[in-house]
Amino acid sequence: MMVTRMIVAARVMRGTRRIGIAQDDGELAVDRRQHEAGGNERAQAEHRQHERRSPMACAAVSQAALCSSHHNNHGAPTPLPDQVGCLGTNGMNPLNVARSQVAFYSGALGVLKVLEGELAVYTRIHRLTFLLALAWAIPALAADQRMGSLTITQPWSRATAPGAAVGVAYFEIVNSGGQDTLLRVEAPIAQHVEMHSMTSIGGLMQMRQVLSVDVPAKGRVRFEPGGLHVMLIDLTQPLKEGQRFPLTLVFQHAGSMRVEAIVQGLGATAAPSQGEAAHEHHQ
Amino acid sequence: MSIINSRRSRVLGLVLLVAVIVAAGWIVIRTIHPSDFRLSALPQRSSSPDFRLTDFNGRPRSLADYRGRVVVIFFAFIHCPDACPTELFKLAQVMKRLGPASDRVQVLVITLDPERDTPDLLKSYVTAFDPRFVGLTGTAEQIDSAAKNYHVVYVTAPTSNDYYAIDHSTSTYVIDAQGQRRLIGSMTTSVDDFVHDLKLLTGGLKQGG
Repeated sequence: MMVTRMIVAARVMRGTRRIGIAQDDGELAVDRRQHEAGGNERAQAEHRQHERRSPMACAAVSQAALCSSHHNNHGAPTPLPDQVGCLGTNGMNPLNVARSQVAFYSGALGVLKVLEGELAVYTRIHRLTFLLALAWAIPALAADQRMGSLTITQPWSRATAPGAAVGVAYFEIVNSGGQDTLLRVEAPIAQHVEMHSMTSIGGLMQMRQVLSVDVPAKGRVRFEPGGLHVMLIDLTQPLKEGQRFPLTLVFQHAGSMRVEAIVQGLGATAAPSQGEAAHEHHQ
Repeated sequence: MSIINSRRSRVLGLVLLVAVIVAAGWIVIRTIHPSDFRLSALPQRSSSPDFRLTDFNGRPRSLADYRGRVVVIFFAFIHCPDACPTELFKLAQVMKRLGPASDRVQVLVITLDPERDTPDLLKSYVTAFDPRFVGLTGTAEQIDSAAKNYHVVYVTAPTSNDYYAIDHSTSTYVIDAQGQRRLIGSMTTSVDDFVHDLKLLTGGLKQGG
């Protein structure tokens, strides 16, 4: 799951880079020259910038997203001259090194000013892409939780409108083992947590509290909009898009499982699938 | 001379005939039939029942205040975790997609929970979806009567923790600019279908059939 997301993130990166390059032929030329000159120092520089901002995040995505994007960007599978550099092992201030390298190559080509301008444009595009890929890939790291025969997939919630003191949480329980029962859900973000079922009978939406939820052997139970859901009553804070909060699922046999729910937008009706997420970032 | 005249009058007649046919065709095309709507169209036009409520700014409101605009009514309450935000978000998207036509549409959100939904809460909640939405509240009796008139069923269902849920109808009611009830949408009605039908209703078109 995580690996798949990384690959998708890498694809997103590549896709957007292509768009970035297609915007300006000159930029493509610059890009080639830079690459042929033996450096993907810009990538390093940017990468290090990101690394300084969020070291953990960068380490997690660097290999997949950044390196592989470089690997495939120039048509032929060019071997990457400095993959190690991708991880930023240089002892000197990497930013300065990269900058001086860029300046050197640019100077040699005698188009310093032009290059700088184009580089700035390119860097902005690339940086945005990188952040978007990161923003999407990192929450994925915490998405699925597995304990014994139980897996909790994609716990998510919906942002609350101002004034709303209740929230919801959804997830899917996949059981590869014997029968179990979900006894309760705990969430520090709310004063009370209840499990509710929802049924629509002739347009009348009925909500009922359920005290436990049976998880059949080799079966799955889905908490989803319009169906079973976790009610977070009297939230201690409004739920904001992109925020994460812990949920603890207490099972009769498996015991407690802690997962992190990711808050989706105000009108979200499902956890983002991989395709949707990739699509969003392409826009 | 007479030949020319008769020819002329024949040509003129033909032109007139074509014009009449084109005009008739245009009227037929431009006339909405109930089947043109994608939401459930009410078979009989009748004036929509009025209500006496108060908007979130404390101003008394009745349906007649919104005459001239297509009114979209949704009954909701803030403690509704799933159906209400989903439907309100959908209506907000509809308003965006309507573009300039949205000026002739008013979305009214009537709370089914006047006890918990104070005017201030209602305001911040409803306008978070779209600043043009208006939230209406009232006394329990006023809400009851409004809900009954729209055949909205709602039942308070207590759970533990001193909390109560409200079972409620999730239909969306569309009333035309003349105050006639016309369409009913549901949770499953798409944004596209809402946009399509509201465009038809705001186009100032006559209904036939």
